[in-house]
Amino acid sequence: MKREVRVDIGSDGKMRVEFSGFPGESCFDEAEMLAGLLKELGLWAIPVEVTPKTSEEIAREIATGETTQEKKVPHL
Amino acid sequence: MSHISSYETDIVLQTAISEGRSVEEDPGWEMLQEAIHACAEEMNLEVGRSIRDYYGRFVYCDWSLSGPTFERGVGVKVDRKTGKVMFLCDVYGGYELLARKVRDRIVQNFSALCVTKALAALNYEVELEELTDPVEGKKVLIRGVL
Repeated sequence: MKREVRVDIGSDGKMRVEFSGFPGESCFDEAEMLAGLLKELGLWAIPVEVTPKTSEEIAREIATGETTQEKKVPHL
Repeated sequence: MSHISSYETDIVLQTAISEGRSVEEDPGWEMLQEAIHACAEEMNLEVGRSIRDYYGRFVYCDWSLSGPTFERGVGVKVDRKTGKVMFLCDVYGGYELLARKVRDRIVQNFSALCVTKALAALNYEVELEELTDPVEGKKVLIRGVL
């Protein structure tokens, strides 16, 4: 399954970051790595809310991921 | 597992300073300049080096954004010791909203540049899309796929 990070930056400068397709707790490591790189560049991202996805949301992502993979299978 | 995080943002150009170099050599300096120029283009403002206060006195800064409809302007100044980016404006007389809009747009543009660069450094394939909402204003959506 592909890993995806989706970042929405609002007109007030606030960011909403969605991590999809990360196994286990690895999305938190990725979030930390991203925040570290942003800080090096000068953007301090201060977390105000962290919401783990529900099992339903994750199941939906996995289903979408499988559909995408099926589409990529070449016809021989 | 996956999750959703919300962040508030602040601009502090500290990397070069912490290595004993000048803030102008910071990786964020050029990006901040780019974000300011993009803001100027989007809001029909000009980039300069000074703003004016209520009495018409000049206040010098690293960059300023002003125009015929906003002669006082908004200034951007980077603290040479801490790297903290400050926004200056004499808002007396009803300029608060406009000044906040300019500041928010600069922060939004800078954030978009940083996120794009950071995701690319983590080997993501990055796509950027800008949307304009009649109520919420400009929104930037960045998608990184690994």
